[in-house]
Order: sequence, then structure tokens, then C-alpha cells
Amino acid sequence: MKIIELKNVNKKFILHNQKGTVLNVLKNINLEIKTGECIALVGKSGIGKSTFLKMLYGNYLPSSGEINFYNNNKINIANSLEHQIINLRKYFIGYVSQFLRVLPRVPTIEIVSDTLKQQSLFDEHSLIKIKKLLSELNIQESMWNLSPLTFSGGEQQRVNLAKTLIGNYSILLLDEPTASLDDINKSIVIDMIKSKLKKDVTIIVIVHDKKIRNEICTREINLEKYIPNDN
Amino acid sequence: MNIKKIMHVENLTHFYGNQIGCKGINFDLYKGEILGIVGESGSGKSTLLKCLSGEISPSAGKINISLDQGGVKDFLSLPEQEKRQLMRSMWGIVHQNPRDGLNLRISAGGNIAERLLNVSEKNYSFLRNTGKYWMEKTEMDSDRIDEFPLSFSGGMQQRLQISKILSSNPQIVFMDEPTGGLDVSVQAKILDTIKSIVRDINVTMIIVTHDLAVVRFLTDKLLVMKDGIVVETGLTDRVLDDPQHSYTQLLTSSILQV
Ligand SMILES: Nc1ncnc2c1ncn2[C@@H]1O[C@H](COP(=O)(O)OP(=O)(O)OP(=O)(O)O)[C@@H](O)[C@H]1O
Ligand SMILES: Nc1ncnc2c1ncn2[C@@H]1O[C@H](COP(=O)(O)OP(=O)(O)OP(=O)(O)O)[C@@H](O)[C@H]1O
Ligand SMILES: [Mg+2]
Ligand SMILES: [Mg+2]
Repeated sequence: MKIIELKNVNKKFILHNQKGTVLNVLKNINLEIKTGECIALVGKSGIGKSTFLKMLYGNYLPSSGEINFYNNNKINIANSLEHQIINLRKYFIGYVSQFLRVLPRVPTIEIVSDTLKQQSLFDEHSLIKIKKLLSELNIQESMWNLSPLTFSGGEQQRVNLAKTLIGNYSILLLDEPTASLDDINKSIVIDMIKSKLKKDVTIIVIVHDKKIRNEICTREINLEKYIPNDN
Repeated sequence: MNIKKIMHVENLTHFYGNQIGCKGINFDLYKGEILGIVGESGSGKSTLLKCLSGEISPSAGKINISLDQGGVKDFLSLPEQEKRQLMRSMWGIVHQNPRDGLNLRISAGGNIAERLLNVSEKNYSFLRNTGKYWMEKTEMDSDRIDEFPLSFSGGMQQRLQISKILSSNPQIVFMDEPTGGLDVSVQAKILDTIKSIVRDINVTMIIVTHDLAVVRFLTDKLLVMKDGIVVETGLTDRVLDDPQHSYTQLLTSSILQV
């Protein structure tokens, strides 16, 4: 079943304060993604992989075209009202950015709990579940009540993952989820992604390691074919 | 999902003589949304907020409001008395200077109670307990409920003003630079408090601030103003991370990344 559809999507950046420089990044994207697929976005650095994910999340605005999500009805995130996008992000699409961005002073355990609270899934079993997930991701108990802002890069990335993986999303957008992890943590995260796929979650992931792609992904989308020819 | 639209603003315009205050403003506000208004000094943020909250009568335009009771109303053509009543009971206005929003002659508890009395809550122990509850919620020491506002620091006075406003569960809260007059360290703590409260009570709010860090973690959507007009609007993180208008690009590049 079709869950995501891009129609004639173009993305350029106009840098008004840098002499109106136009960066044409992606052009004429037409594609469909089905429920349960695990898509890898590939292409060289700067090609627009993160831009692609951010457009799907409503964080970047396509310069033209439609980005449709099929839930019960169709919703085009490129022209939806703010509260509709917020709602989609709350229940339907989870996004793990390359870098953790959280409020200062909020403890790790609360950051992870918050996802469940937002989804109205927080109940008496939740804390056990959250602690289990954090332990599996090798975030030690002594860190649970601290803000992750002073954690190491790899630890922050694991908190970032925990914050999204605890939730019950239909779609996950993952921007280099294993980039700053050691081999042990990498394989733990890969197993978690696999178990999401077993639950028919649709995943779009940026991951440079070909071995990992072969292990989890059902399809690769090479963004090279969407490079505008005037570049 | 059907979220109620509680305010619809059309072509709202205000001139001070020949001077533009704000011009041609359009937007909708839905229940539970937090709208940020940003822009440089003199861009018309306070003017717009005052038009919306009824503190000044705009030169032109339309504001439709739809409250929990009473259906859709044309706010600007309400009889003056009805407007005042609405502002007293259903609007919550948090002033930049807490002294403008507090009654300095009565105690902290009295200030909170005074507001609750407007929404016809008269039971003494209820009023007192609610006062204490809100003082704690805004991280004040509720044992100081009988002290007068002037015995509090500026930051505490601001917390008290916020308690007073939020305790009566207003349908829309208006805040103009709520931490503007305070120390940076105090500002951060108050904003933390505001953030944690609005997350658990589902308030609808319009907040004016020049601080983009505040905007990022507090608001859902933004109006970016320059020279009295709105130059860009949208989901907060979209506006900050992928600004379309040249002024927004300037604004987001001239600050430290947040
Ligand atoms: N907010 C923005 N404003 C202006 N240009 C941007 C913005 N975001 C991305 N770009 C530009 O868009 C192009 C694509 O960037 P993007 O980050 O999507 O690449 P990427 O494929 O993820 O690269 P990498 O593998 O290095 O992470 C780059 O030229 C980048 O400079
Ligand atoms: N009472 C007034 N009489 C005349 N002009 C006014 C009055 N109040 C504001 N103005 C003018 O209207 C314009 C918008 O002012 P406003 O106070 O709305 O700006 P602002 O965006 O809130 O600025 P700041 O960030 O400095 O508070 C300015 O040019 C200002 O000088
Ligand atoms: Mg990238
Ligand atoms: Mg002002």
C-alpha cells in the first residue's frame, strides 16, 4: 500500500543576502514508497539527502510539488496548516536528526517519556519500557536523570534514537542514525531498526555503510538522478 | 482530527496618525496553538498584539473569535462592555512589566484570587488552594502567598503575574516580551517554567519576543514582521531552518544557531 508519494518535487535555496545566489538542489522527484519498505537514500555529500528527509518532515519547504502522506486520508505536508503538520509529527512520522536538539535542563528520561506522553501512550508500564530501551542502548542508569546536552556525541545520538524509537510511528526518517556509534552500539541499533520493520514501520534512512544498507534496506534511491542539470 | 479555529484575523491594520503600526495582517489561530511574533524593534509586534487583545482599536480589519461558549463573534464590533468583560475573564494578558499586571496593594494570593473572582469563583479555601497550587507550578514558594508583590524580586513578580493569568484558565493568553526586563539567567528559568506549563495545560497563546531561542522551543508557528507587515509565516522550525524571505534569512543568520 502506498504510504508516501512525491510528485514533481523541486528544491532550491535562494540566498537573498548572498547576492541572491540560487542553489538548485533537487529536481523533478516523482516516486512512491510503500508501507513497510526500508529505503536508503544514497548519493555523495551535499547532494541533498538530509534536505530530502527534512522536506518529508515539513522542516524544509519544497520549492514546488507535492509530498503526500496516506494515512486514513491524504495529506500534502507541503501545503498543510501548521497544526496538521504538528499532528502528523506527533502520531505518524518520527524523525531522528543528525544531532540531538533538546531543551536545556530536561533530564534524559523525561525527553524519552515525552514522546509517549505526546502520543497519549504513557501509562504505568512506560517507565519500565523506557528504562529497558535506554539500557539496551547502553545509556547508563546514572545518566537518566541528567540532561543529555553534556553527553558524548555517541551518547547523544543514542538518546536521540531512544526519543523516537520509543514512540509508535508509522514512518521513521533516520539521518545517519549510526554515524557516531561504535560497532557494538551500531549492531544494537540495527537490530532495533529491524524489529521496527517487522512491525511494518516504513523507514527512510541515510546510511553510508553499504554493509548496513544491504542488511536492512529493501531499496536504494540514488539522488543523483534528481540533480538539476544546470548544476 | 478537527481542531477548532478560535481566532481569524483579516487585513488588520493600525496607524498612529500617519505612522504605520501594523498593516494588512492575516492569520488564523487554532485551539492549543502557540503563535510567536518576531521581528526587529519598531516592526509592529506590540501594536499587533494590542489590537488582538483589545487594548487598542485598530484602524481597519477584522477579528473573528470563536470561544468555548457563544459561537463566532466579530470582536471589533462587540459593545465596549462585552469586550471588557471578555478581556477580563477569557483573555489573559501578561505584561512585560509585572507591575502593570499586578495589584501592588494586595497580597500574592489576593492577586490570583482577584482574577479568579472575575470568572465567578468565590469559595475562600478554593481560592487559597488554587493560589498556592499556581505559585508552586510557577516555581514560587507558596508559603509566601500572603506577601505583597513589591516584596518579591522582578523575576518572582513575573512568575506571580503568570500564575495570576494562567490560574483562571484563559482561552487565549497574550504575552509581550514576558521576560524582557529581567536578567538573562532569570529569563531562562521563567521560560522553562512557561514551557513546562503550556505543555501540560494545552493553552492557546500569542507571544511577542525577539529571542529566537525562545521561539524555537516555545512556539508552534511564527509571524515574522518587518516595517508593520508580516513578511513570512509558517511552522516555527520551518521558518527558522528554511527561511524564504530575505529579512527572515537575515534574522536567522545574525544570531547564534539555536
Ligand atoms: N537551510 C539551508 N539553506 C541553504 N542551503 C542549504 C540548506 N540546507 C541545505 N542546503 C544546501 O543544500 C545542499 C544539500 O545539502 P544536504 O545537507 O541535504 O546534503 P547531504 O546529501 O545530506 O550531505 P551530507 O552527506 O554531507 O550530509 C547543500 O549544498 C547544502 O549547502
Ligand atoms: N503610541 C504610539 N504613538 C505613535 N507611534 C507609535 C506608538 N506606539 C508605537 N508607535 C510606532 O509604531 C511602530 C510599531 O511600534 P511597536 O511598538 O508595535 O513595535 P515593536 O515591534 O513592538 O517594537 P519593540 O521590539 O521595540 O517593542 C513604531 O514605528 C513605533 O514608533
Ligand atoms: Mg546530510
Ligand atoms: Mg514591543
